Amino acid sequence: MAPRTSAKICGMGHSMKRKEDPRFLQGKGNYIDDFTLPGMLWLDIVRSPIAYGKIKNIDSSKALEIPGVLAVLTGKDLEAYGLHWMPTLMSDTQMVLPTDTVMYQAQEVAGVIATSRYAAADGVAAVEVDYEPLKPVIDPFKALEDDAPVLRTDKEGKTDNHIWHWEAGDKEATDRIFEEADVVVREKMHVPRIHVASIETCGCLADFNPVEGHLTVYMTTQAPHAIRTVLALVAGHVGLSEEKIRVVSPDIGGGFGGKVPVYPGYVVAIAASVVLGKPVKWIEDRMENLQADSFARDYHMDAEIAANADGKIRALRIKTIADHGYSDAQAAPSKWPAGLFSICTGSYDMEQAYAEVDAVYTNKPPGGVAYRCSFRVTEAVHCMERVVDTLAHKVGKDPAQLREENFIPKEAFPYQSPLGWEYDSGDYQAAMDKAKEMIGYDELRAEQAEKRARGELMGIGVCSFTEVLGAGPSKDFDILGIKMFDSAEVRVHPTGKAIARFGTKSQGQGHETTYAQIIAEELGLPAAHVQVEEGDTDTAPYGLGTYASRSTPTAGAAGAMAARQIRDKAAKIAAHLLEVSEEDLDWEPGTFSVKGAPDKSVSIQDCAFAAYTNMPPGMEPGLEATNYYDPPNLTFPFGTYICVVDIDRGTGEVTVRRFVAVDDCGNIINPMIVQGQIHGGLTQGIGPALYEEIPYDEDGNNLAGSFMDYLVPTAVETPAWETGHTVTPSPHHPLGAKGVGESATVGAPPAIANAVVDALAHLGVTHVEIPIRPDRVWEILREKGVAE
Amino acid sequence: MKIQDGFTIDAPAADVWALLSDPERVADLLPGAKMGDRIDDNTYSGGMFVKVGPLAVAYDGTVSFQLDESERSVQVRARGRGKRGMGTAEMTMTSQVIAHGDTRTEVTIDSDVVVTGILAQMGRGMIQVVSKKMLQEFVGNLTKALA
Repeated sequence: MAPRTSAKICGMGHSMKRKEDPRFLQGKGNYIDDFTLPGMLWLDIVRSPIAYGKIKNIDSSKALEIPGVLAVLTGKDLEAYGLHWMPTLMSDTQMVLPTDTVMYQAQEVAGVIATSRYAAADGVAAVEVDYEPLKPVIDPFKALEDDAPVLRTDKEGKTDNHIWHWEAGDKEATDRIFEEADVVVREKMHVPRIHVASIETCGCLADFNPVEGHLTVYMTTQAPHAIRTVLALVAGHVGLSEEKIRVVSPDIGGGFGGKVPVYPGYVVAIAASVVLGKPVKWIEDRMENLQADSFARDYHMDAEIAANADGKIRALRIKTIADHGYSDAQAAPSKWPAGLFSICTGSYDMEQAYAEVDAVYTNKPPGGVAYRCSFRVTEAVHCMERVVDTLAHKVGKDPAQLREENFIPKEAFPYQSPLGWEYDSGDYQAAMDKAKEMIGYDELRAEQAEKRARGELMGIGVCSFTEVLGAGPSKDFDILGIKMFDSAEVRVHPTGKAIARFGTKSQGQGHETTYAQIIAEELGLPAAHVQVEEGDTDTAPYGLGTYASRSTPTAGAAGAMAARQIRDKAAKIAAHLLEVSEEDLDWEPGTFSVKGAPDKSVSIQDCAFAAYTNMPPGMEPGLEATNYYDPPNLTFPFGTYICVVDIDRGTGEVTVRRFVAVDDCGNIINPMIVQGQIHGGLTQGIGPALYEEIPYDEDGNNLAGSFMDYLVPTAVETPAWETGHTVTPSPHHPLGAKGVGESATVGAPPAIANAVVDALAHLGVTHVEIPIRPDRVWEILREKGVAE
Repeated sequence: MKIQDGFTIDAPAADVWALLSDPERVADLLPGAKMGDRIDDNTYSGGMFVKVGPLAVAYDGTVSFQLDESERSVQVRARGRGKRGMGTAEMTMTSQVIAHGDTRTEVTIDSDVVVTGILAQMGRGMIQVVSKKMLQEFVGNLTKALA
């Protein structure tokens, strides 16, 4: 679709270079660790080496002898202020610092405050903690057994390790279909615990002014406004009321959901600043980050499809055990403990579905952040796309063909899914056709047949995902009661330049560019003249932040609506300037002209100047608007990914030879940024597919607590991505946009897993667990007698 | 983690037992071990330095010995805390001296090792290998001492 605006205005559809990049590329970004304040102190954290045990004693005396160490804060110290526990966003509770028991390895045990980072680290090494180890509960299935020790003894009356049960769909109707169906396929799978592993770890700089009772927190957070409110609710009793709290989220080096929750380190830093009356900085090191927070996934799923003999899907049934670790500290909307898992019916039309999730406590750090994923959509899509392939193999159909025969047809939109969603728009066949054409699907199948005859292992994997994002409509979505709208405030200056502030917070998504393009599209002001600001709760309008691909669907829409309000006012000014009535004006981006007399015109800049210098009689001066956008529905981007893998029969290594990604995210704001999002998301999809996992041994030791063992893909492992797109606008979003940040992370792992299974299908293999490490593949090859 | 090991040495069982039942001499022969003060009849303070791949951990703690003269067996229980927050280690090791004729002696070693913290996370796969290597050095030192 050709852009509606000129290259000078650079509205939607232009691949405008990112406005934020000059500072990032020159190393001039302003990240949390770049902040320094006079008199600033450092916090470093003593962490538990064991997964479960009683604290017998904490001896701080040697630490306090170290020059520069000023204080050691323990749970007992915080208890005096009632700050040793905090609520999670899911209305569970979590220790800030323990008073008697540690519940997972790397748990925060004490905070050492010192005049330098080095002294703080020396202090941490000198704090002596005596533990009495207890046998931890690591396996979530064992955690549910009757004789399992109850972990959350802090909860009165708790007699087991079960957290909650969630279900969606009509169980009885689904079961009936399963009883009578021609074909039932079943696959058990684990989407393991992984880590967001962003370049920047978590940290903050807490600055409490004891004279004014005012707290400023510079903090790596994706949701600064929500954090401010949470701080006010948690620490209101010690005098921190909301008007005295300012949260500033500076440049963020990757968030991916890991920087939504409140971690104990933030609270300890704030408590230390309040107690000492000095600024206190806390920055995690890499191993702390990989061991203590920002964990995602960990769903054990048992999925079944009931189908006709020809492969027409009739029903889906999924039973899930969710390992949440020590606390349910994920950051999902309140009513959605299992997130948007009920998107699991995916791109396929069926009569019934039933999904259930049971959440479990174990002695692992709290998990479940929505890692580049709209709340459990990754788990749901992986599950469905894997078991659809199992069905295709079972009924002897090509996996692409079986998908096509089950797609929700494009005429069926808006489509009511059996689990309660109203999909806004889609054309799944178009994306499939394009992906097949780009990769040369039929030729690849022929090549595979030849290679298979020669004993070579090559697989083709297909994934046709449907995402659900943009949380969300206030009737269904809130976090701690706060509705999940988002906001924009646009102010046009007299010279026709503008500042636009939003309730979200970019962590690399390019908001400073795309939001400016949205304003440019609607107002005709050049995007280069629109300055975008986010992240400071003292200046930005209230919003719930950036995660779950919600920025474009919510704050982006708010920006468009605010710009339209401004345009409406500008039209009145233009009519005044041109001495005609408003109805006699034509609008094309940037210019009002008189109908039938196009040379009689004024620019949006003229209107801006007049708004301050020559407004119509009776009109309020100024040109600005604020919009809080409550979306009427979620958006449902989709796509088809096809990849080709080769498997080395000697080593079991999987090489992704080609990967075609066709995405449909509705109308596109900046094609270059969309492509960048997809490249990044695909790379973050190879990770969990082939390399990444945080495993624990039976003692609760994290076995991938450094980059030596936690393998994130590098340029070496990354194939040359081939991307394409189709455009099916969202009918309810003001710009027809849907959001794209997470589609690729969601769609890539099942495409790769399906390709590996496809390469091995003739040997009777129906499933391989991710990450598909060489040793896992080699075991299969050896078992099937084809290892070289 | 349970580790079973052992060795056979060309020396009379009585000589081997005399050495192995003397904690201070054992500590001298064990690479990385340092014996401290005697706390009671069977217990000493002590230190142990272990290098596992890229990790070097210095433990401070206690070690106690239970001798069974009639069985020529010794049970060693060691408990240490790693310096600089490097986690903890606990070991229970039972060794028995078995005579094979007058000049050959077998020593069996059954250990149960529990490590926490960084060594457990990162060195897990290497602990058996390292323990074997330490034993080899120990046997080498023992052979020299008995020669």
